[in-house]
Amino acid sequence: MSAGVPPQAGARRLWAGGKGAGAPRLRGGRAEFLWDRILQGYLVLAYAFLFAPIAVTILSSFNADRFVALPWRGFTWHWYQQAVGNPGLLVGLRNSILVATAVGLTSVLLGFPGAYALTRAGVWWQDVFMLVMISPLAVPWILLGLGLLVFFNTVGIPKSLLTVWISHTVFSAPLAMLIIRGRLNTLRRSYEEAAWDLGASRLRALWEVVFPLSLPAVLGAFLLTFTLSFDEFLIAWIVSGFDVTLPVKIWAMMRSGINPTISAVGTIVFVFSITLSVVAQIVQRRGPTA
Amino acid sequence: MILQRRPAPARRERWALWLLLPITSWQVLFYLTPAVFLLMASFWVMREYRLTPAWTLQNYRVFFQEFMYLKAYVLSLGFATSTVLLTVLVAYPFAYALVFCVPPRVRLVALVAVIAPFWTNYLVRGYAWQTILANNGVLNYLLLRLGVISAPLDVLYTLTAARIGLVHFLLAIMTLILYSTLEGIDKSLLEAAADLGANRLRTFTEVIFPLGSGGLVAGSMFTFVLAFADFVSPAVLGGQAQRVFPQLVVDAVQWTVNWPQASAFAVVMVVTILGTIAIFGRWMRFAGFGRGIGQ
Repeated sequence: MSAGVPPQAGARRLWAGGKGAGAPRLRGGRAEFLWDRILQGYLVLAYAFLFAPIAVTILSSFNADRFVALPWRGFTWHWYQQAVGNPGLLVGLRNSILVATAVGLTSVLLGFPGAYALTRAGVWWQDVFMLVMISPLAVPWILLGLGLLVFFNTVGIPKSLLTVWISHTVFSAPLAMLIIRGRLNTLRRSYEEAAWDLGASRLRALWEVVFPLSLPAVLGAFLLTFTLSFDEFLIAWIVSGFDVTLPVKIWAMMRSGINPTISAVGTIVFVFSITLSVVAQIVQRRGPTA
Repeated sequence: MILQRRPAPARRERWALWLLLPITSWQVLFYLTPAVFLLMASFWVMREYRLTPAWTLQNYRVFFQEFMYLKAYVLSLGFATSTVLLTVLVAYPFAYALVFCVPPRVRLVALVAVIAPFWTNYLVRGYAWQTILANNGVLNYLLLRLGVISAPLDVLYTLTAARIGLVHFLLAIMTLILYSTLEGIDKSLLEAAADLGANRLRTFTEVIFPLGSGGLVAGSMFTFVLAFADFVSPAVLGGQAQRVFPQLVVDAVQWTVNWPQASAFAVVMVVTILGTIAIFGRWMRFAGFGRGIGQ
């Protein structure tokens, strides 16, 4: 993207999505060349806007100044020590990991059989069914949380980590089913049918052939639903009782004013989530190709 | 993603439908039933901090008769509309540049970078915007140092700040939807336009924009619903003077503990969202949704 590229090259790059030799040749005048530079400048600004909060979070978590992210007043680990030494945050972290693990496991346990059923039963309503199932992901979560709160209260289930687990599974399980269904759709059915022909029962073939082959998607679904639950604030806030999750604890800290400890926690969570997502991607890419 | 093409089913395994039972039961019990409870509770009352069944329209009457709630509702509609417009204005050139200016080699990296902000917690992102937009924040510091302004801007704790935080959240979603639509436009059409002598601008207004309108409408609908129902950005970045509707709903849930009242507000929100989807749906058919997608 150096500025010295002749106008023609810039214009040709514009439609680089085309097919190699047959790439369309566009009119590449001076105006077009300028237009390209403007768009590239815009890209830089857009990415700067997108990354500003992350940059500021990391910056202020290491800045010695208590009240501002800039100007820079020197490097410190102080806010991280504060974060790690805060018992409330540690309890929140433990609760969040507990709930997210349970949500991930439940989602996969509910999602895998569901996905298998949808891909193998060959019913005409499967796409409609899938749409209805994943609708909790599109419904505003404030409504989901309120409905569950009223439900739990009326039925007599006290607010606790248990209710957070149930609530998060409502939007996580369909997502797991969607991911695993994607994998099952690309899986060749001959493996499974070979197992049947060799005398394996339907369930045994499912467990010993189909499940191992879809393991990458299952692990990917687990990690993604884990991350979603781990990060979720609003529903957890509404349906949790005295045992709060990490985001709810962060919310409480934010209400008591500016505190770079929040930036330190935010940075730790960011690194944690990004690691999980990268692992999820690697896991999904690998595994036997079918 | 949902409407994937699948290989023709060799054998139909009807017995497998039993395996749908666990997840279906879960969703019926913890998704559909709570939805019904929400609707019922909107007619109930709270007595001595307990939900008490009653059949009254009182909770709805409060919405229509108390000015505070109607005002917040109208404010929310305006807030969501302006936020979506702003998001479109920022996202469209972004998606356009991603499709037409970024070489395919680095396309994947560029797209991953668009969703990277999602790996930070939404609350922490709000907190970061606080430290950016505050009177002694990063933005004012930089602008003062550069001599652009002489006195710090009062942005934090206004709806403008809330809008900035929300646009940041919605930008990635809108950009990806627009990207996939623009990316799907048949390149030979662009070639034809060029052969016929159209310049960039004309190619955009007469080929790209009409073909991409389906994605634009779909993205606007999705982001409108999210903007209308968002609580975190207005609560963290907005001020006390102008509070949006979801904030009043959360007040009724968490502070005054009047759940029937909150449920009635929630029903109003659901009706609003359904109305939005209906309006956008008509518009989508008008815009010929799907024409620009697919080869």
